[in-house]
Amino acid sequence: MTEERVGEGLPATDPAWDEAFVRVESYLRAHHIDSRVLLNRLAAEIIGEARQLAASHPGDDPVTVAIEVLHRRMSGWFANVLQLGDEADAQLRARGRLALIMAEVPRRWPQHFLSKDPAPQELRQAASESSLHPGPELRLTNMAPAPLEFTFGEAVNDKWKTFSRWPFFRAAAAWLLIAGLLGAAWAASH
Amino acid sequence: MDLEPFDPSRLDPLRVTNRRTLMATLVLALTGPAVLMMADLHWRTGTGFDGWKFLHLVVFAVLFALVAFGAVSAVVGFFLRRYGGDPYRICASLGPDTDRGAIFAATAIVMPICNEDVVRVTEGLRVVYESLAAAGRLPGSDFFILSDSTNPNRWVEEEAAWLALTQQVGGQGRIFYRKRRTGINKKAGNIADFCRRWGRHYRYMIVLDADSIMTGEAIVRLVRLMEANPTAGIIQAVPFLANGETILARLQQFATRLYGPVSAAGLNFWQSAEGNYWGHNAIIRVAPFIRHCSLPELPGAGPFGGRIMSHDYVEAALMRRAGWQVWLATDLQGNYEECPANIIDFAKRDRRWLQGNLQHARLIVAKGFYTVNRLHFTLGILSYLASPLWLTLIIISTVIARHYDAVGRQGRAAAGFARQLPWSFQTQALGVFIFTMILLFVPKVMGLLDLKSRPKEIQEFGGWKKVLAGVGLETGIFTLLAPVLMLFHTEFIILTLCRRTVAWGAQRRGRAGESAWNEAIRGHWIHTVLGLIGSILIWRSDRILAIWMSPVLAGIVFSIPLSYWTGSVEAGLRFRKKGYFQTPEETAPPPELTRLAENISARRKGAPPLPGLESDYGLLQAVLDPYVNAVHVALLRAKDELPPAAEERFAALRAKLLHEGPRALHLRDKIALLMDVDSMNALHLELWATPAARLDDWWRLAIQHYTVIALPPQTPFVR
Repeated sequence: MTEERVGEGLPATDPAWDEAFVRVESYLRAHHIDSRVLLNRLAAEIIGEARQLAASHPGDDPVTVAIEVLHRRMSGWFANVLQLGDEADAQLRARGRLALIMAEVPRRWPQHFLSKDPAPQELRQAASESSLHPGPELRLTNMAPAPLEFTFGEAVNDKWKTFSRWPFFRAAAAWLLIAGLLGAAWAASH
Repeated sequence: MDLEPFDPSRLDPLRVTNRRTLMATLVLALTGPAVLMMADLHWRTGTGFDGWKFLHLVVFAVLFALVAFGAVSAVVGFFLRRYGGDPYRICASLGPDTDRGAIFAATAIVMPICNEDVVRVTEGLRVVYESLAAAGRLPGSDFFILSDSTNPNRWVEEEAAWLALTQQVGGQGRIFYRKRRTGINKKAGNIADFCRRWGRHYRYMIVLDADSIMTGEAIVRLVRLMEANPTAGIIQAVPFLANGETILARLQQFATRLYGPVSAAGLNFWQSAEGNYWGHNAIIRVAPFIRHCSLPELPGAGPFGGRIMSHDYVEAALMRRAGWQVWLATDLQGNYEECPANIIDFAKRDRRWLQGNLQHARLIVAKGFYTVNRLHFTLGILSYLASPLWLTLIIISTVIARHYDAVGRQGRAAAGFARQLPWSFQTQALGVFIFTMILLFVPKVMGLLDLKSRPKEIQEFGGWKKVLAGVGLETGIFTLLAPVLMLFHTEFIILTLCRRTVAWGAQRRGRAGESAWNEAIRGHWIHTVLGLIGSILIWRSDRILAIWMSPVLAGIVFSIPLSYWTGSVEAGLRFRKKGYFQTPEETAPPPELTRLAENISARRKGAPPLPGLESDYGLLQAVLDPYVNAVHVALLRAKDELPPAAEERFAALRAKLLHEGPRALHLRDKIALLMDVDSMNALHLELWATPAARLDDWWRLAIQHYTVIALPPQTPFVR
């Protein structure tokens, strides 16, 4: 083997693909995939596919291509796990991410995340049963504003709702008596 | 002894009238002589009865009546509690042998929030949920977080925290979250929105504030009270204050814990079935609430017209108008709330309440209300109007004293009552002052006498020495703070009358509410200046009066350090360490409060956002985090096809957000993006797929949160 042939066939290091690798790995980590081995394996697989795809789209940025590949893989995996097919891609992925966190897939079945092998039945069941319940079923009802009228005379008459008539008059007489006594005391001394 | 439980539906109206008229008679019997003595003092100054004196007398009468009313309530409350409790209280409607089994009454526990501390909200709800689950006797209960948050950070955090909470406690389908797109009619509108959507599912709703805690036992008991009393529309529980750390917060919780029970018993004595609703920690019968308690708009513009701001009193009045009873549950245990941590936050809250209460002036004459509800409106107004009245009294007193001084203090030595009573002018003035002070102290004395009958609680308050020292300190500190609040309230009333409305922001709680020097200076410099000017003027007009008024003037002059000190957590905890202002909730906390403190502490241990990212952290998470984005998108309303112009606008905003960062966007644009499902999906995809070189620095920093690679080691080989 001549010196020039050593390392031939190995992909050259490229900062753009390094960035793409880190981005893919970060995105996976954002899904609470904490195993470095798993992160590395999945990221390497995605980057491998992305590099192949990029060969036919030379103008595209590696980060964009890699994330596109990753999203495609996630969409496929979510469609398979959730047994959905007709939803728009972005909606499907949002729904899938929700199922991931609600079924605690990253904690319970991290090794199956984005795996090409079929997902276990418990995972499928847990994921497809995961749906958000922000409120119970709507049972709409009308709540019309209470009418208010502002009439002083009526308001004065309303006092009989609060007070019984005769005890109130008796008390009012007592109040007048107190006031009268105080007035008399004043008048007598001033 | 009558062991039959109290039946509110058979409440004797004669007895209720007698109670109310007795209260009025006692207040009059105390106020009348005091006013007469004050009038006599004016008479004896010998300068005739002019407008100043007449106005002084009127203001004095109003203020004295309020003080007398508080004293009478406390005395009545004390005697009721001393002799076995009021037989006519709602809690007495449940006999001792009440069924302890499960109750099947669909109940919603609703917590309306608006830009609140999300950790406190969710941890509070967790504690209430778990406590109720442990009680296990209310299977038909659901929880609702009803958000009107306008701060994107809070909004996004609420969504994620809600889902996490439901996951952690197994509350799927039991704990719900609703965010209104527009917060029409604030808290009342938020509750009404709940009622319109889901009210028909529930027989009762229990309204909690963001800082409320209720034990499962308390919730079950409230539901049981409603079930036992089909005429009750609202039952308001009396919450104790808890979790305070600053001096002011701990002072408030000490004072309300010590004096509150007698005052509450006194309130219930005359309120009876025409109690009030305080907006939270209350249970409401949903069907009549929906039918009768939707708030109308008041005629005219704000601050007196328009939407009703202080909704609770009005809802209670409307419920009562429709024939439903409103009760105060004076002795319901396991019911807590928090209070503002510093005097400026206290004043901010008062400004909102004050504005709302002043608006009630129109409702005093609204047709169909019970007189007691009109009285509630009036007392609510007077509770704030008392401040400018007090200031007026001080100013008029100074003017009269100066006038009296100018005529050479030639009083009529043997005029008026002096002909019958051997009192000098000074002795009589001192007598009126002492009488006023006695009445001011009566609620404290009643609270202490009431405590005497509960030896276990005395220990929980730290023992008699600490209690008495606490009362002394509390009296001293509130004496200094009261004039500061007087100035705040007077300013707020003037601003309200000038039609300057206030925004209803979230209350800062716990350590977040700790005072800072710059805030204290900004909030109080004007008080200090006014205090200095007032002190000089009063000193120059009448030195004796200045000495008498020195506590008031000192509070105002030293308001800046006083505000800072009373709002300091460190000082508050130092007092706690020394055993001052202890309450049973501190010394023997219920498990719910302990768990709340532990949970909050655990939640706060997480690393805070990087400093540069803090201001738009909610937006960051909603765009960047796969799960937060998914929850956010799932909770957004699916939208119809947008017109092309709107699509273009959103596309431009998205590009601007990614390439120039959130600082390039106005708040309304950020909210618009956060409300648009397609934009949130697109932003998530675009952000992760865009190379760092094309992203704004802010996003580059944000994305580092998720990066596995650590920075290279800093050695000479790394440049």
